[in-house]
Amino acid sequence: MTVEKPVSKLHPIFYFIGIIIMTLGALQLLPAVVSAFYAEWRILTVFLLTTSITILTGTIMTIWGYRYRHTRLSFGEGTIVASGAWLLGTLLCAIPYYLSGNYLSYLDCCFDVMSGLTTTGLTLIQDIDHLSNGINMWRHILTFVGGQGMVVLALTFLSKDQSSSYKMYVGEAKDEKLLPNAVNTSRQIWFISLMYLIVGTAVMTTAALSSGLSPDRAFLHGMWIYMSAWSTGGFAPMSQNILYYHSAYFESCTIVFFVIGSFNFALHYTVMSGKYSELRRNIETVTFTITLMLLTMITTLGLMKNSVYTDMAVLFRKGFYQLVSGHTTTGFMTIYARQFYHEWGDIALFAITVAMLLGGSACSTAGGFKGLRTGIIFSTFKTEVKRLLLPESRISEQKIHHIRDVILSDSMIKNAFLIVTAYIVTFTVATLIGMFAGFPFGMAVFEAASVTGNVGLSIGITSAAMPVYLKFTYLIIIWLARLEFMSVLALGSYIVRKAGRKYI
Amino acid sequence: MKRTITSVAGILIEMLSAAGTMLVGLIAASLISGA
Repeated sequence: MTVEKPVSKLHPIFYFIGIIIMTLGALQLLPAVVSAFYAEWRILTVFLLTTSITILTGTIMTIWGYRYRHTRLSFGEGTIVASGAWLLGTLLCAIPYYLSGNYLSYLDCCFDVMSGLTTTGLTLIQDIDHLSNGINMWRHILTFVGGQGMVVLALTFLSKDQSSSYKMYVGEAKDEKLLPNAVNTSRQIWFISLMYLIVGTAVMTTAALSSGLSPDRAFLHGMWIYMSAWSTGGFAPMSQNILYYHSAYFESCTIVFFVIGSFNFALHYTVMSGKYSELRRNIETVTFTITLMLLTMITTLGLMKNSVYTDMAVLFRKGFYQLVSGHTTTGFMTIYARQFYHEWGDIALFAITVAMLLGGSACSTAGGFKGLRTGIIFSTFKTEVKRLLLPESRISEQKIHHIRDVILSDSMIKNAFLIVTAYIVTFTVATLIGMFAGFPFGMAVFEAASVTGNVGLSIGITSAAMPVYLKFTYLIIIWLARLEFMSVLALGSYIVRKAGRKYI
Repeated sequence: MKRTITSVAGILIEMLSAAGTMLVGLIAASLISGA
């Protein structure tokens, strides 16, 4: 992802951001329907009002840039559309939260919207156990849409010949095309997600029924938990998260869906096209399996050493569950946040922190470094060691298998190192600011890894009571990390350049 | 029709593979706890 040339065309940027904002406005009708069904009249009014505000804002922007809709965007402008839409979308989607009265401040609302859209799953909401169904629906829609990407959603409504679509698609940190056209790729991503939505909701509803929920609650909880699992989000309708359901069957079903959610969309497409062997050959699934095995051993040994959980079933349901939830960057929990710090011990916390940073697959709903980059970096180290030991004639081209055999170019290796370095720098800054806020090193590191990897597991730092500057820092970091840095940096430099021209 | 069957089979295989990851946790937990 590179910024090709200086950007200056504001009208087409506004046009495309306007379309994305209108899509987000239309989405608010879904929780409005749920509110109407459950006779939550005040929340229904809130959604009708905010839908109007959002659609009106999007319409004004679209009309303003309409004449320039066929302008070909550069990659720089595409990334600015993506990051700008995420920023404006967050500000507008936070209004229903603010008017619902469930948050202490508008910043808390923006934090929760960004946390949902980036599929992080950390929350600052008050009294989550007594939320209206409408607001709960909105939280889970945000995380479901954010997983696929709001640009990806908007692109499905654009015409196929839209020349700028690929640049916006790349701006949202998805650089793999399932089909030659970005619009068709976006439609395919949504087709896969909606097929899984039907299967996942059915399975999770059954699991919720078996946990003793009434049929209508089982359906809503099943659908919400599925949306959260598939998006590797981590939101749940109850404050105890997955612990609330007290069911090994329910927990196992969530593992299936969040592991699938952390797979690359290109992998889903290939497997659903009949090439089943891709699952065991793909560099991302191979990397994930190896790192999961190693980290599971470390976590389990750490927990046993401290005699935290000594029984096999509890080790699996508490130890392995949090680990795989962290590795897929989901953030579902079957323990209380404070148990990490007070019970788990340093070894297990170390393993889960590494898992959160490594993350899931590229072009998926997951965050973190991504398996593709971890695989490329590992493969590069292997080749370089070979180069030291073997004669040059015996060194072959560096290859990985990702959908097909790919010969690694220098630019791919550079890109992998660059993004992973950006993640590490961000993680370091987040840790430092956490310590400035008065939290011990271990807690600050854990929460920083969770924020940087868009995970959502919490050790107890993230709450409405944390300092405002820490909320703001975490909010910016989850946005940066979800869009993989370049888009947000392009938007920042664009704004600074514009402001510089005007005032200096 | 064939495409639908292939897609559904793909979903089932992905779900089985994802369920297979739980074996990693079960084996590690049973080995280390000595169960």
